[in-house]
Amino acid sequence: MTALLALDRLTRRFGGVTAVNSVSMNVQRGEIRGLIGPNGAGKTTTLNLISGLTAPTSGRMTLLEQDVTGEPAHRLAERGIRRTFQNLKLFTELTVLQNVMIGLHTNGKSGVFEAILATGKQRREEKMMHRDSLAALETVGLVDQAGRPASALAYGHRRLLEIARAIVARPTLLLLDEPAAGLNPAEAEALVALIRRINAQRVTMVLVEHHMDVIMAACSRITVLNYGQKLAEGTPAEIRANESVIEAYLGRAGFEERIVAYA
Amino acid sequence: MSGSQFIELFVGGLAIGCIYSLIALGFTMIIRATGVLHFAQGEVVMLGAMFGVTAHHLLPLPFIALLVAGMVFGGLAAVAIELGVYRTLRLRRVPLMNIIIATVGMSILLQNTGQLVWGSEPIAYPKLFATNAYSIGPARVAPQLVWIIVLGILVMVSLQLFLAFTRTGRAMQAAAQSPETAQLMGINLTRITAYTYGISGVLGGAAGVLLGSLFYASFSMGFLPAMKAFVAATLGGLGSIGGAMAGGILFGLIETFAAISISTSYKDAVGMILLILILLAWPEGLAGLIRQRR
Repeated sequence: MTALLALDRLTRRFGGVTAVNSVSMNVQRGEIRGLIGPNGAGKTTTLNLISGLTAPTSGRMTLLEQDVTGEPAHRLAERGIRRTFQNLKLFTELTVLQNVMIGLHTNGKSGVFEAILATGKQRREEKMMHRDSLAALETVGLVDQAGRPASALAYGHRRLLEIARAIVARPTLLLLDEPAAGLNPAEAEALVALIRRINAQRVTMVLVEHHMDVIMAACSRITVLNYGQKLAEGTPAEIRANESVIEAYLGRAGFEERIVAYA
Repeated sequence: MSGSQFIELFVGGLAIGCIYSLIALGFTMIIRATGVLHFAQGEVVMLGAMFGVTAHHLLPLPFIALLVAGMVFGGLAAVAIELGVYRTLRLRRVPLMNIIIATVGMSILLQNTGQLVWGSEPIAYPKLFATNAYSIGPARVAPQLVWIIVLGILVMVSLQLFLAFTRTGRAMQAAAQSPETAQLMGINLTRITAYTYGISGVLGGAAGVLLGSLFYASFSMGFLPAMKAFVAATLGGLGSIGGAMAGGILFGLIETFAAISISTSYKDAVGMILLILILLAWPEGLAGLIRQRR
């Protein structure tokens, strides 16, 4: 079986710094792939490369067997890649529902002229977007907040709204950048359940996260980056046992301590 | 000041205020989306007025059709400027300030073009409205003013509906608030910027036809109203859509009443003094005051 997403020796340099250095990675359809590593390991740059915010310096990226290397973000979004951000990036002046509806932008076909003429097609499409957006809010449990401005939401709810906006278009690949950051343990546990529910709807995911418990509980496979290079790859059990990961990632003592805590 | 005089002035101020609001909205949309202060907005207003009056000479249409013609051509002109000039500059990655300077150049270029095409003499708009004044209580109000208010508000309400309830409108708001995120939702920023100029041009064109019908159309008619509309946008809080609308109407009223109570010869100076005072006292304008309350 060919991979849904294949990175082939992907490299990104910023001036003299090589943020991502010849990383190859195959993400299979339906997988939840964890992407971990110490700060500065190149995790966020990797997500930026996959989502098209940054163009690779060299290497190839293949999505659904098509070469998509260097395509801009909005083209990759049309191909079904969606992401959330480590630092929340909501449209704060819009309502919760409108935020989610913008996630459906690529599904809409009607343009300015249909809108001005208020054609039947435009109104049907608007109704459908409305319904799908409410369904996505239902999935993350925010449907009762639909009419409020996004700026009025509590922190944890903003994280959920970002996820709703990312899943509403039924992405083929969902990239989550530290979705558990700032959440308390109960919220983090609920997040793992949500990630599983979304995955059950056949959404392949790449998850960058510092919370080891979230990574270990949610992911089917884990890729470890260090200094921009791939250090290891395997199931959660394999990663836990991997000597070089333990050595490089946290220092021996710290890692074992955390692994024991989450085992 | 008698009650009837007050009503007459109020309606007059409201009418000119609606025109300022339309121009101010054009400024605001472009600033939000691109960070550019579009100095040629006044010339888009002029082009709208010129196209409106030209359309009337070709075909004696009702006023509403002239308004639509002015809006369509204002929009097309603004898109052409964006695609032909500003977009090329952005692709070459010139600093924002250079693009703003380019809009000043564009303003001068369009004024000269307007003078070449339509001549230096002001062109009178045809009498398009009933000449019998409407009575509001004891006051008598020119129908033209009432129609300007009605049509101006209609255009502004349509803009709000467009921004809130259409896919393109929401995409424009999203792109203005967080361009990077908008891109990740599949929004094509280059296209959205062109639409934004288009919508600003449509608003400018509407303002041009309404302004032309109030006075006359001339190649230099856009400059001063655009400066005043910019003051209005600042008064409302630069970058706020609601602020631009409120600021325009407020500015029209202030200007009208100031002209009567101080002197008509200082009418234009009043606005500029106001701008400096606003910047000193409330740098964020009305929108900033409301935000602070929350």
